[in-house]
Amino acid sequence: MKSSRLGSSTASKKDSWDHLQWESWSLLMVKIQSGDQEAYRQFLNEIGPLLFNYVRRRVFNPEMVPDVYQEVLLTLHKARFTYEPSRPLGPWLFTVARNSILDALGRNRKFAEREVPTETLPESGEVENDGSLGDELHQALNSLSPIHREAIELLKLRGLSLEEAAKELNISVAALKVRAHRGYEQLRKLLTEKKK
Amino acid sequence: MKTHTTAKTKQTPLAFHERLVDQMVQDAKPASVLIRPVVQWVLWLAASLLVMAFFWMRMGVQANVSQVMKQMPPLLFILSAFAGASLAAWEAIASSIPGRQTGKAYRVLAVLVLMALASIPFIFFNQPGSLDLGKALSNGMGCAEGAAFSGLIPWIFMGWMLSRNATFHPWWTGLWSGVSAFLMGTITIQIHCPSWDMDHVLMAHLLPAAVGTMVASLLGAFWFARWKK
Repeated sequence: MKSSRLGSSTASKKDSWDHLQWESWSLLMVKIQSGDQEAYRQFLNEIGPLLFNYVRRRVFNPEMVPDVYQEVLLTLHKARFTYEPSRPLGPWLFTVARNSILDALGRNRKFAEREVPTETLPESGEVENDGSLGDELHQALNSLSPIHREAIELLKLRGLSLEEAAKELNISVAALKVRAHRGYEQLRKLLTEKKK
Repeated sequence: MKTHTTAKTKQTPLAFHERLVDQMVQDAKPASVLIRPVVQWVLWLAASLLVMAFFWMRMGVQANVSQVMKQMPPLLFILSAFAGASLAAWEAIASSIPGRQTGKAYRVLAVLVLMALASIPFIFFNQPGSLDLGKALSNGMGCAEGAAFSGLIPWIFMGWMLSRNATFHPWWTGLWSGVSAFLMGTITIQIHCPSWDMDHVLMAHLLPAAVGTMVASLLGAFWFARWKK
């Protein structure tokens, strides 16, 4: 009887702590909506571990967890204006998180179906032998977005392995593959257009 | 308790977290305020009724409309169309705001109302001697165009409102926005047109709502997904 009372007391303390925590995040969200940067930083730092664990429990491939987590935070950023201060924060937050996880996993599945392994893509040496194409390649590379150019430069010009390049960019190998693939696609398109 | 507190305050063990937070914080401009869903719903209903009134003023209403509306089948048809449009409008708005999604019971109710609406002409309205739906459509092309056009304006207004929200299911949101807006078109034309024949109502008054809904769901799949880009 005594232990049960103690148990319920601990549970109610935990519940009230949770309640206060959500209340304080809800107040932070109101400040965030009015453009308070410090409140936003505090909110993201406090909510980050919770969301990261939420993602980790739902994404079975550990390599994908950081990318999906990033996607969740970015979606949260874009959808932050849809939070209604008069309503509890939890359902809103987890709806955003759950749906952005599903979106990210769906996109990744679609991408995996069309993925070309980076190892089979043309080597930079093939194009460097042709001086004019080298210039064109240089121009085309410069017109890529910085993240895609960076991925290609590390993999093909500096010859780093996927793991080394991913480590240098501080992203996962899967994310690097995505960037490199998209970079190659853009590059191929640009070079084909120039040849025409 | 102690473990719980530690877990909540511990920072995410990822190096990019800080970098990402920095980028997001820099971009933290004041957000445009979300109009409360109930307000959106009431505004849309009011705007749709105004559009209806405008069309009735321009096109006129059937001569004996007050007498017709005293009969059960026409009244039932109009009321279920209005109920279906209102329920669909709420579903469209709720589906476009995270954490506001309706439950299964609500969606079942909306579908039942729409099924009831579609079955009323078969049960209660004048049955033609020989059923020729193609002929009914060609004869009622004016009504079909009127229904589509009078549903288009509520749909544009609904589309504008929904595009300011953030749906994760753009196709679904588009579908319900189409149902709601084009059913308003059906009501508009049904009050104007004196024909209560089953084939005419189906092909010239309800078919435009079905087609409009399909188009709305296809357009919605792109239009309502723009906020994520």
